[in-house]
Parts: sequence; C-alpha cells; structure tokens
Amino acid sequence: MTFIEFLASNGGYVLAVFGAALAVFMSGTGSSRGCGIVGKTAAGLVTAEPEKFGRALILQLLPGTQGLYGFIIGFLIALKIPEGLTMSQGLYLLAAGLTVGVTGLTSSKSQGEVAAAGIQILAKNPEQSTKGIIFAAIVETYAILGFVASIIMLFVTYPEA
Amino acid sequence: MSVVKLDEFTLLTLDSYKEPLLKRLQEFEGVHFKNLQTGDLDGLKPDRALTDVSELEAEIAKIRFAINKIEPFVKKAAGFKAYMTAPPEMSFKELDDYAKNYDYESVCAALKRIDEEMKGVSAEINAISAENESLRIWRALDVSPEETDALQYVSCFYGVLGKAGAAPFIEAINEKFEASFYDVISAGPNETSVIFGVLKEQADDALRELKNAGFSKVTLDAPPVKRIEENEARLKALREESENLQGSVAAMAAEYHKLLMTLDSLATILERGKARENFLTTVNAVVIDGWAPSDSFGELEEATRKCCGDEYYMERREAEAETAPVKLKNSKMASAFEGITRMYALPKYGEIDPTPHLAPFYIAFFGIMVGDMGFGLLLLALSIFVKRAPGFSNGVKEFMNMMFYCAIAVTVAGALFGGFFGVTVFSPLRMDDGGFKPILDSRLDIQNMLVYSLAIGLAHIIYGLWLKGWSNLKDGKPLDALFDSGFWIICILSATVWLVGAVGVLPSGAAVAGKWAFIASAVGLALTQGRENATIVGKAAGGLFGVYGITGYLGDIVSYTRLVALMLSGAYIGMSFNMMAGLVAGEFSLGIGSIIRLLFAAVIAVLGQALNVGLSALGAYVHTCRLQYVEFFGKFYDGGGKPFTPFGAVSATVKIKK
Repeated sequence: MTFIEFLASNGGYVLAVFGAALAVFMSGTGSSRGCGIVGKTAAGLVTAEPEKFGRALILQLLPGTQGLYGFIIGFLIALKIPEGLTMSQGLYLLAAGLTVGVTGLTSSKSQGEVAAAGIQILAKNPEQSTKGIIFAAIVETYAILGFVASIIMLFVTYPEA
Repeated sequence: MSVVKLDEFTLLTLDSYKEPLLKRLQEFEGVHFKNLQTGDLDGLKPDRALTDVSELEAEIAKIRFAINKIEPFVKKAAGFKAYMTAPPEMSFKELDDYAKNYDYESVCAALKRIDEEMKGVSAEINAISAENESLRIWRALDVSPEETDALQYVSCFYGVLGKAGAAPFIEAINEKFEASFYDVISAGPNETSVIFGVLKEQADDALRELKNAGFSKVTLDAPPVKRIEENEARLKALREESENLQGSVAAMAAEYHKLLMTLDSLATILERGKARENFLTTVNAVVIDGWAPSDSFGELEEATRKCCGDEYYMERREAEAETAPVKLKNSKMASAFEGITRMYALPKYGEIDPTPHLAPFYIAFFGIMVGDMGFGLLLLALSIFVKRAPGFSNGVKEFMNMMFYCAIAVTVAGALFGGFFGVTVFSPLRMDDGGFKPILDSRLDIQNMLVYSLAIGLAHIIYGLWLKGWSNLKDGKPLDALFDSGFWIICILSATVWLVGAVGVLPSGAAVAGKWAFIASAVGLALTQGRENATIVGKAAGGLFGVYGITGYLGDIVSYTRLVALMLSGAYIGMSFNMMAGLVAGEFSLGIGSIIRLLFAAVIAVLGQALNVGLSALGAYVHTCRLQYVEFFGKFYDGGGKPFTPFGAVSATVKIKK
C-alpha cells in the first residue's frame, strides 16, 4: 500500500484526528500563553499583597477557558471517529476543530493581556477590580463564538454519510 | 421609582450648637453636605476641623497597632460558621459613646509595653545566639584564659586562622620560634582555632610574624565552655520569658472585638470632626449647606429645632440639577439592580433612572444565557443562603439579591431548553418520528433560537428609543422625541416588516407597506438628523450621516445572538462533561472496579458541572451587562451623577440599629 492509497482509503480518519488534535492543541497553547501572561503580573502583585490572591486567581483563570472549549470540541470530534468517516466528513471535522482552535489560540493571548492590565486595577483600586474581569471577559466573546460555531458544525450541519 | 427628589438647604446658626446638631444629623443619616469652602467665600472663614482630629487619628493608629498585635492570637470562626455569625449591633448613641466607656488606652498601653519587652528579649536572644556561635570553635579548649595569663615567662595567645588553615602558621613557628608551643583546638573548613605560647621577650615579634601567616588574635574572658553553658541557661530563660509575654498577649484576645468596635466608634467621631471641612464660619456663627430628600426634610427641620431652639435660620429650596447628588429609590425587585446602574454611571439629577427599565431585561437575558434548571436551582439555593446568613457584607447581599431573581429566570429558561446539569430531562413536545424534544432544543432549534434572540434585541432597542422619546416629551421637547425616537422606531420596525415580508412569512401587502414606511422614515431621518448644524451643507451631511446610523442598529440587533451563543456553550460543555463521566463509568456491575469507576465518574461530573456553572454565570453576568450598557443605554442614557453620600456613622464592624 502506498502512502497515497493509505490516504485515499483512510483520509476521513486522518483529517478528523488532525481536527481533534488541533482543536485541543491550538486552544491549549493559546490558553497557556494567556494564563502565563496574567500569572506573571499576578505573582508580582501577590508578593506585596498576598490577600489579593483569590481575585488575582480569577483574573488568571479567565484566559484558561479557551483551552476548555478546545478540549471539549476535541473530545466531541474524537467521539465521531469510530463511526467510520468519509473524506468530506473528515474535512468537516477538521474545519470544526480549526474554528475553535484558531479563535482560542488568538483570543487567549489578547485576553491575557487585558486580564494582566486588570491586575493593575486590583493593585491600585481593588473596589473596582470587577471591572477588570468584565474587560477581560469581553475578549472571550469571540472564543465563545468560535466554540459555538464548532458545535453547530458538529451537531447541526454535520453531513451524515 | 427613580431618582429621589432632594431639597437643598442653607442653615445659619450659632457655632455652639454645631456639635450637638452634627451628632443628631449623623444619627439621622439623611443629609449630604455641600462643600462651601471651595469658590467664593463671601468674606466668611472656612471652618477648620478641630485640633482633636489629628489627636483622634493618632488614637486610631494606636488601636490599629494593638489590633495587629492581638490578631494572631484570636480564634476566628472559619468558613461556614463565619458567615453565620451576625455582626454586633448597637444604637448610634451606644457606638458614639463606646470609646468613651471602654478603657482602650490601658489595653493599648499594655500591648505596647509587652511589644517593647518582646523586642528587647528577641534582641538579646539574637545577641547571645551569635556569641555562642562564635564560641563554638573553642569548646575543646581545656585551659582557662586566667591560668595562661598568670604564666611568668610565657605569653599565651588565642587566635583564629582563616581558610588557609594551620599549615602556614605551623611553618612560621617552626622556622623562627623554636622555644614555643602551639595547639590546634579545632580545625574547620573556614576557621581554625589555635592556642600559641612563646617567651615573653619574643611576644611582639611573634605576633607580627604570625599575623602575616593568617593568625588573628582573639581575647577570651572566661573559659569558653563555661561561657557557652551560661549563655545557654540565659537563652532558656529568655525563651521562657518570650513565651510568657506571648501568653499575656493571648490572654488579652478577648479585647480584640472591643478594640474593633472602638475603632468604629472613633472613626464615627472623626467623621463628625471632618464634616466641618464643608462649613463656613464667622466668629460665633456657622453656615451649613447641603441636600436632604424632600420627603424626610421634616426630620432635618425638627432635628435643627431641637438642637438650636429658635436661634437659627434655614432656607429650603429645590435642588439644582447641575449640582445635586443622586439617590436612587426603586421597588424591592428593581433596587436589586441598582448596582448594575451604578457600575456604569449614576444618572444625573433629573435624568431618568434606568434601573427599573433594565431590571426585567437583565433577569430575562441572564436566564436565557445560563438556561439550565439544575444551575438555576443551585444559584437560587446559594442566593437564598447568602440573603439569610447574617455574616455577609451588604455588597455581597445586594449582589445575591439580584442573583435571586436571575436564578428564578435561569430555572424557567432551563425548563424551556429542557436541561438539568447538562442532561435533557424535560421534553414535552412530540416529534414527527414519535420521539420527544424540549420546547427549544439545543440541536434542532438553533435557527429558531437565533431568530428569537434577534426579536428580543429588537424589542430591547425599541424600548430604549421609546425611553429617550418619553424623557424628551417629559422635558417639553416633542419634536426631538419625534425626530430622534419616533422616526427611528418607525424606521427599524418597518425595515423588519419589509425584510420578514420579503422572505414570504407575512402577506405581500405588509412587505410593501413596510418598504414605503421605511423609505418615508429614512427620508424623515435624513431631513432631521442634521438639524443642529448651522449651514445647509452641514444639515444635509448630518442628515445623511444620521441615516447611515441604520447600520449601527443592524449591528446592535445582531449582537443579541450572544444570548443563544452563551446558552449553547453552557449546554454543550455540560453535556460533554456528562459524556466523559459516562465513558469513565462504563457498564455498571457490582464489582469493586465498577464502583471505583463510578466514583471517578461522579468526581468528573461534579467538578465539570461546578466549572460550567461558574463559567456560565460569569459569562451571563458580563454579557448581560454589555447588552445593557452598549446596546440599551446607548439609546437614551448619559449618566454622570455623583452619589448622595449621607453624613453618618462609619462602621466596619458594628451594625447600627435604627
């Protein structure tokens, strides 16, 4: 069996596996970067004011949700793999994985930067720190949209064989 | 149900009545002072806070110090119990007199004394420990310095050698001072202690030579072993003393709460002193200006009469919109949402209070976005607990009061979507294939839900435009109401009818009517939106730009699809965690392996749903706020009022009984 033959007969699987992997991997990469950005700033604040740990942690967790979205889409794609996939279904699943993956990858970093700025609010004007959370959560909208688009691809418009 | 009507007053009275009057007003807690010391003083002098303000501040600092010292020894209720403990309650008068009646000064002085003793003890402990550390290398010395000093022909030196060790030192002795002796007491990697004896006439020479070999002389007063033992005995005594001192601080732990209450008491008195920084004085008289709610103004007048007899003059007038502070008053339900208005900006005095208008939408939006019966019941239970538990702060209680109404909506919306912690349990509708589905299924009805969300958005935005028109009408500007609200409402509604009609849902006549109504309102907008510009060209350009604003409305309405997006993300995250738990659990049997798997599955489901409810609630909170602030407030609301902060008691610990 040549490589091309392998691809032709198993293309649906290959693409779907890549879709699942990319969904988890890209959004996970984004989230770890976002959480890292906030974590660095938060650690600086907690050195001086350890009692603000709880609220700083919430800010650090915000860019972490993209990783969760990607993981869930990856999981849902993986559930489809044993069903037996055509090439076009595989492509569809790859696209579903990329949608949440790319939005997660890009939005997490931006959200991390906003949340890190929110740490400054927490440091200087702690009564207003809820507003920092809101600013950061606004960025998340686009990750949610990516996630929901992937969900729709998987459950509503998925091409049954 | 709106911004509370205030009256402004100017009070002129004798300076000697000021203190009792202020005390009474502080108890009344319904007056917001105006700062008269800025701007033109009309030849009057600013009333200075009394010297006792700085004294009070010093007292407060003393108490803070004492509280910090006692705090580590106070057993505090933790977790659940802390929330169930009610704060101490007292009347204003009790709080005001508390500091006077409690001998906090002796407590503070005692703590200060103990603290100083402790500092002394720990300094001594450090010094003695350091000495013992340096004596450690002499422990093996078996002669006493007294004995060696008494020798007739020989000088004895004790000394330390550095890292180079004993070798160069021994070499120097062997080369030049044959009539001598040395002994290495202890040899370590960094320090070597030695004793060295030489004939008295050679002593100076020897010292000079040996210094070059790394020897530095040490003076020992007593036999080191003895000294170390003495030191250790002393250390033991000191440690005991330190423990005793800590014990005497711990014995004062009962004073902790009293000190906290004293802090409140002094802060309240300090507040009274600082209030003077708003007033003007002559030699004997004082001028006070401020605002009080119109419906409790009588109480202010009565308080003044009681304190000043008839030796006062008070002028009452209507508050001016530009300067008056803002106090909100709403129904029990709407007032729970005042925090949302406040977070954006308070209305200006005289402006419409958006709180009662945003509340029903807020509840509905939050409900749809979370949309799960299980989450709703959980949030409901949490909000009822927080509302009932006495240990939460007012801010948290207010937030949870809002959450109470939202949680009911979450449960209702959950029934609509059929979900209970991500499991579809309520499916009343029969489908064609004989199965059942929820009223709005999160897989089959997404398109319908998107359309409904747009319709909700349309209603919200039109309501916002209507509010703007209504407040313009109230201000006597009917034309503005027609141009800026009426035209837009007609424009948006007719465009909707036209579009929906074009799809073929409505009779064809409706689409045609919608089309012409849309064109007419667009022309109306083009003619009126630039009316504030001076030139004809400006008016035309402004009008066209106004019509271009339609695209903004389009964006606004599409923004409401986030209602569906958030609901779906919560539903599918919940479903996925349940699926994962199901995969882990596998087929159930009575074997031990199956039970362990089941336990793991339960942990996954519980943690997953906990994460999901947190995420959903946070997302719903943020996005509901956004829809209110951007899409809704943008249509009619400016805000920018400053809050009415009544002069009253300052209490962090005590709850004031009314």
